[in-house]
Amino acid sequence: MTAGLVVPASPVSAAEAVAALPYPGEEPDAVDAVADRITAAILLLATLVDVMDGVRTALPHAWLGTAARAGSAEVERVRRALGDGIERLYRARSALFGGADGLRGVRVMVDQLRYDWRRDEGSVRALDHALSVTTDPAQHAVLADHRRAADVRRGLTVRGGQASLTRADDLTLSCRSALTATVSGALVFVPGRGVVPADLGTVLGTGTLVGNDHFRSGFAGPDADETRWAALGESARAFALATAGAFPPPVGGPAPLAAWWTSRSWTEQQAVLHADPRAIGSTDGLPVTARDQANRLALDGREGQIQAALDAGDPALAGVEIDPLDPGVFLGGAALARGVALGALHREKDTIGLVRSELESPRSQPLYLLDADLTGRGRAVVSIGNPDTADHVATYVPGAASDVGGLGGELDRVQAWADGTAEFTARSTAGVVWLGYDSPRDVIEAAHDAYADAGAPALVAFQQGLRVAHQGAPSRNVVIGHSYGALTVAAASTGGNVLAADGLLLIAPVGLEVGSVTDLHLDGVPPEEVGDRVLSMLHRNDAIQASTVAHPGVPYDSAFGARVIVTGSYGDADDGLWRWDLTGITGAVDGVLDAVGAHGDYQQPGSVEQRMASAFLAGELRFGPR
Amino acid sequence: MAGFEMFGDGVRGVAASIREGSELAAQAGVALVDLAAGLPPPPVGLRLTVALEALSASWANVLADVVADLAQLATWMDDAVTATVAADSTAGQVFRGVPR
Repeated sequence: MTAGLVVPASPVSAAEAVAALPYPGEEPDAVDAVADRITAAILLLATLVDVMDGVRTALPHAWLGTAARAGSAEVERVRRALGDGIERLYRARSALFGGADGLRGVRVMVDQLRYDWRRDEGSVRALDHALSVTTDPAQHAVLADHRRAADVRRGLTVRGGQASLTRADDLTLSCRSALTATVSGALVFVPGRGVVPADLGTVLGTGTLVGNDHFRSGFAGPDADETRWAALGESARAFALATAGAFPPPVGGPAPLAAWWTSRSWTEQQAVLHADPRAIGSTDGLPVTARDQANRLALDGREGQIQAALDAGDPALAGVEIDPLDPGVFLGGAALARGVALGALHREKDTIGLVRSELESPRSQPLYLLDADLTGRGRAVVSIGNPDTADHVATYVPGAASDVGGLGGELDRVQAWADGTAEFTARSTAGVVWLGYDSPRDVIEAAHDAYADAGAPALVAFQQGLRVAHQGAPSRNVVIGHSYGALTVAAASTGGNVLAADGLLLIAPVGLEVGSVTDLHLDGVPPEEVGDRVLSMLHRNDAIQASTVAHPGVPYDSAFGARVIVTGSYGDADDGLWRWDLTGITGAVDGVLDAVGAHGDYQQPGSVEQRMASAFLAGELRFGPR
Repeated sequence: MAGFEMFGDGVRGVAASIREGSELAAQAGVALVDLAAGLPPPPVGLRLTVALEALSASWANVLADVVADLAQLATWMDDAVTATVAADSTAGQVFRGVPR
């Protein structure tokens, strides 16, 4: 395939025409530079061959027996692969140098063409001028003959330009073919791909090295990835980072990011993860195990930064800059500002310690740190159980005044609900505490829906990420919103948002900004079924009912359209399941009202509230007709 | 330890050499990464880009395997030295390929 050479059509000045004639093909010096890089690789691999030869010689003197023979065989395989590989690299290098030389020859052709063009165009123009001023018919005829000849010469020059392009393309094709031959072998049958040339790893035998196979699968234990990563040297890590490419790639959303991740080798993934653990740890759609590893690394790194800043008394070492134009600083309060900043770093360090302590506390399932930004009030997302492999996943969004400081209590809650599913199903359930937004600090702030609206996009992305990262059959995902958290959940399901969830459990919800379940959108749930996928649960005497003053939508009102369960008054004896009226608000239960206590108590193991929530998470709560 | 005998310091020295080999393979890999990136697009004519990308990708795979293989081999050797002292280890068994 030869692209057309663009030769400027007349009338243009000769200078313009010459200047516009391009050199076809790759830049020869740049091609040489590529060949030089291959030379550098050859030299390194030749040194490696020397090392392998030394190992081959030394091994029998240091080690005897079956193990030594196995080791020697592996060394021999690597040695043989390197020998063949180096020979192939030499061929690639020669092809590139040859191609560069050929392209230099083409450039000489083009230079000549430019000269000829200038000459021929000059002749044509001179003859045109002579013809225009000559009145002698005989001389005119002679000049016309010369003019025609000059035109023919100019045409030949143009065709010469085309020939130079063809020559460059031929050289390029030949070089390409030679390069391709160095990285492929004989035709082989590959299931799913048919008959194709064997790849370089197959040809050299490096794809089936015993040690390589074990490196990728042989490490075990909770810190297997870190152990394996530690077994690699500095250059090996740099190599993996270089081949991995930049993260994040120029594509957005959990699914493309997950596709990018899975297209990388384990070594490349680890390189990216260690280069920027915060980026990996906070990316929705990536595997939970990778996010957990990254976030724990990030915590370690951040703690080290903070400790260095505290030791030196310099907040800047932890990335905290004090603005010299800040009025307080400007008026002589620099020491005060530094003290405030160091105080904040002390608190952040304490919070890191708290999170680490919670992660190490014994729970019914392993804990995964899915996100952590512990500056200020802090944000954290922690899962009990692996949501990528669980059959059911509950994401719990706490309400007002929730922050990382209360992580332990929030984990207790979600663990009670998740563990409680065992009463109804043998399938596994992971419970996630999603402290991924800035909740209102108190009931005054909770009158505003801005906190919910600001947190909604992150919740939408997180839930999408759960879908993308899940392995095997899709899990049943339920989002639990407690109190103000229900407002955040609703915000993530409305206003153009579609929440990746199979159900919503609104526990002691505040009033919502939406007036009906028809305004809530869950992925994969037909609009007419949403009413049966949203459950509102409330103690009869929960004080939260007063919140409808600030937020008019009442999720436990029959007009809202959700399924509603109102349990007995907090403080009374447990009513038992038989007392529930699943079609509406149940009757009263005697007892002493404890409106405040009621609001925070929906997870006591064995309580009707916990059991009802767990049954809903498991998809085992059967509703009667409305 | 029938059929299995080693001289710890000697094996450790060999393991260190193999680790050095893993690093050399990685450095060669870095030299071969993204070879096409250094070629500015020509105004006309065919390019070498695709062939160079294939060359880089193929060698990235091969050398990643070699890097990991040698790192594993060195780890096994170190573990095997420990295994001599501790009588056995899972890693040592795998390396030897001898059921015990």
